[in-house]
Amino acid sequence: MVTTTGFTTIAKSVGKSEGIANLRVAEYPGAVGVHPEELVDTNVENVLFGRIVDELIKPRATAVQESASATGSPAANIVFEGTYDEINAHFRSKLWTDELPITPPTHERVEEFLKHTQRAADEVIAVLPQANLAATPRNIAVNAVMAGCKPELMPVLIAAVEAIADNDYNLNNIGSTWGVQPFLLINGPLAKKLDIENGAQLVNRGANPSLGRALTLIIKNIAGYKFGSSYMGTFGYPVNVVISENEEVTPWDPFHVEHGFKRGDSTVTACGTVTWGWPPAIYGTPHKTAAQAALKFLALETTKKPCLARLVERGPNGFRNMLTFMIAPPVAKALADEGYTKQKIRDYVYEHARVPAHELEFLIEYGHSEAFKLPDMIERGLLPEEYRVGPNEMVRVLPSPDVINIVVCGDPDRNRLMVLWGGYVSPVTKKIELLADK
Amino acid sequence: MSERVGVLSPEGLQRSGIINASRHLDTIEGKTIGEVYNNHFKGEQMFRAYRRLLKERYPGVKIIPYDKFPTVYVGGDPSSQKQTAKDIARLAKEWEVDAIITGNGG
Repeated sequence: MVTTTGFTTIAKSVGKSEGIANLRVAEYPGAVGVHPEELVDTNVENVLFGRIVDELIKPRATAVQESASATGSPAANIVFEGTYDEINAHFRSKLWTDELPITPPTHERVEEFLKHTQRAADEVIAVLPQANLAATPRNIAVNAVMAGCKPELMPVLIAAVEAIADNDYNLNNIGSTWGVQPFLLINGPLAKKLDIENGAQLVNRGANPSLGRALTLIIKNIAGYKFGSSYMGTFGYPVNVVISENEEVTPWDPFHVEHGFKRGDSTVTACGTVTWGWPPAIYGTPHKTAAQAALKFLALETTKKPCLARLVERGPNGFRNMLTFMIAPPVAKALADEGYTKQKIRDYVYEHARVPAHELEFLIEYGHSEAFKLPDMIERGLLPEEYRVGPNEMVRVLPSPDVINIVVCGDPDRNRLMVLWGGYVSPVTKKIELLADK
Repeated sequence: MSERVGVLSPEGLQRSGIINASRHLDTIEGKTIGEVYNNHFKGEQMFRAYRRLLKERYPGVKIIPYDKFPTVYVGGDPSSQKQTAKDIARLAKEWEVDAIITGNGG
């Protein structure tokens, strides 16, 4: 198998999860997408081809034959003993946390969760890709304890594991460099009983955050998606969220009734989103360099932000805006190699991020409480005269190049970028003073 | 906070057995090499280069290009992807393929 830099570990671990030891992997050096044609040929001839030949003809040590039965630590055994801080340090070192402190999963705490299911503690609920490890009530409960869940949420988590294990959910592919964010939708009377919120700030309130965090930990520890080795999201994603439907006020059948369940049933639906931001993969071709493609994508993504009607405003009474361009290092290098400074990138996007005037006017007139048209905006000092144009003329969506903030970050081997819109705020930066500074 | 307690593992249980990867080739000369492609990451250019280099360095090699095999792709679901893998394995046996170069993963 041929991989690119950064993807050899995931290739081997997927091979192992599928039952093949010592998968033969040859790695191409770098992020091939942003490499010009000549560099790809040079890398193949001078580096990759030799690796492929080696992999084909090199003898391999025989892997130890493992038992076909469960080989992990006996599930109920104590794996570590220590204080709160020592346990947290140990769990972080084993990559078992989401980098936040966890509640120590003691036998007693786990037992409280197991009282809320009729399933045997070590019964296999599902085998979760991509590590193909078995989820049991006990290890689901361990992750739920760590996340800070209440024990009565246990049935929801068992159903959630069954949902993400389903062939249709396709958990196999959430490790994509896109940064797919799984989330749960809870329906039915149990939601209210368990304090699962469906109203204002629902993703932050009630049981929702702890349930979302438990899903994060289950995906990491049971499905085996480890950041940087098998979970490859270029920029990652924010915490997993949980939503619930307000079935008392909805004018329609709630989601679970639409899908064949009774109104009185309670359900968990495994979902996913890239709403945090889809990161386009930047390719160079003989017709357009990676830098040129990156610039076009930055401009295009800028026009796709959700509130162009506010983004376009300017002046002392204009809406506060900031855009953040997250650019993975290989894309940044491709841009810099062609002479693009951060300011040149800002200027390019300011000039090229445009939509037809009628589209902007629709967004302004029908997407806000004030039914303005473009001329009204000009009269109010929120737009300059250049917006007094025909409906099909292309107009800028940015008030100034200065609203763009450029940050080089993300997977150092990935050719992606992402544009985040931040309405209502402007960036403010302060120096962090250390004790030694005083 | 200073109390010492024992804790359980959050990890899933290992279940499946492990087999070894196929035995290595003694040489590439005279062998049949199949190509399997996922339409990703400039593979067209790279497979072209492998073909050229294989034929230059191992004149007796036979190559079955990727357009003869099913395409592996991130679309579909685990069942359809496994079926594609089975189809590729069946064709490889039928055409007496000695090794497959597959890519690009990334």
